[in-house]
Amino acid sequence: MKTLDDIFPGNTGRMKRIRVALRLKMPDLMKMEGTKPLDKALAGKLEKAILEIERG
Amino acid sequence: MTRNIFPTTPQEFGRRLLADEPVIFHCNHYNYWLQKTLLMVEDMGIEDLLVDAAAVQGYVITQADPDKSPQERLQTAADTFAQNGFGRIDFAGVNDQGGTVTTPNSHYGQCLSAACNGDFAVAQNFFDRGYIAGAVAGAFDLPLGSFAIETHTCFSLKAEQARIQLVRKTSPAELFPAAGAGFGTRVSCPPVTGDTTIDEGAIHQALAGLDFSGNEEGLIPRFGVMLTDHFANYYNRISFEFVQRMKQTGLLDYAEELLIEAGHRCAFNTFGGIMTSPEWDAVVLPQCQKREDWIYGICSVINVLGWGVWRVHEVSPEHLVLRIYDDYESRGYVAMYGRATRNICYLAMGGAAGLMNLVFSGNIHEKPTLDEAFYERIFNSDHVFSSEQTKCMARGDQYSEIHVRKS
Repeated sequence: MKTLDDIFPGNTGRMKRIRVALRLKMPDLMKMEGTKPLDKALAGKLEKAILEIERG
Repeated sequence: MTRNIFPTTPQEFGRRLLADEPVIFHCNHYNYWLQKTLLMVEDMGIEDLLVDAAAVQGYVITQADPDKSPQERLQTAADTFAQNGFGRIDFAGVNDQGGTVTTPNSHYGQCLSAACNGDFAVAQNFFDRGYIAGAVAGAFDLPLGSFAIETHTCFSLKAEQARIQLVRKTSPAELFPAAGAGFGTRVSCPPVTGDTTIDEGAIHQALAGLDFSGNEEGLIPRFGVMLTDHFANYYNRISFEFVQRMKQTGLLDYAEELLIEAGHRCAFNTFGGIMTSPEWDAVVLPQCQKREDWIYGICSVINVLGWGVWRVHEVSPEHLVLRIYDDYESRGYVAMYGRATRNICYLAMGGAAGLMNLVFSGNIHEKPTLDEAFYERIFNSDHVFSSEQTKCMARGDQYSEIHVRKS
């Protein structure tokens, strides 16, 4: 199972995590433990949001 | 090529005014990352904000000389757009009821792609749309907000032509007023001090000989980036209004991090481009005896951008204390919102950290390729420099101060 640190590695990952939190209006995303396994639905939601924010 | 433009008026602290509005240089990378950051948030009117903040800038240009005809004023707006690096505008198809305007070249439509990793989700020419709508309203002495954008196409979405169709509103929208020159503290700025061989006066004299006006396409390719001689209050309005709107979301602190990162990106590309340019090698490099001189040298170059005066107070390979006199962010913030309760020099915080990362972590003297891989290598390192703002002119301090340290 993926963790937030897997999905958003390093400092550039942190910036991406903030962008996703803004896009999803999800402040709790910034407070979640980075190493804790994510449930599949949330991981999928985050990965979908990443695709959106990575478009220009 | 003769352009019918207003001269920019030099002010204290290296600032410049165009039709009483401050103008400053920024590159396509900053323009891209700042706009991208703001567009992360949906349902908060950000797209309208980007257009409306530009409208007042077009409006002040066509309202600045009321003795001219509407056509002459529109020509001035088109020539200013080209002179300042935004591209070209053809206003031939508009009258006081609206019409169709084309932009054969567009900084926002064509030059942001260099900073973008992939295709755009939305048309990027918000600034063009707003500037044009405001300029047409001003040219015909109509209230700001008299025109709506009915349809538009943009090069950023691979349109073959960029067209903007304006329609006259039955009742004008109320938009942001012009903020003008803003407010500073009028404290005197010290000369360059410290252990350096940099001669700021000589650097400024050399830079005065360079042409920073738009070419025949209305674009300013310099230092490996595309520059704009932009309206400071456009940046200020979109950044600070974004901050105002983020206050209700529980994400304000994080949104501010992204604004700082946009400044960091700016530093990497613009400052990095300058420090790897032939102009740097010819003018500044011969004055540099040690790595710290690169920091003094780039600050001397920054001081011609219109951002205020950046003074190195302390610098070592581990630490930078930067004092900024009359920074454009504070001046604009106070004019728009009054005294700040938070530190608001986002561009300066990111830019200062970017300087240290370029010089001491990125070894910019070795002329690395300034690409995304380089950025990620530096920014993801365990010893990346980051900034803390300790004084802010917008909060009532005499100058803004930023400490940069390794994390």
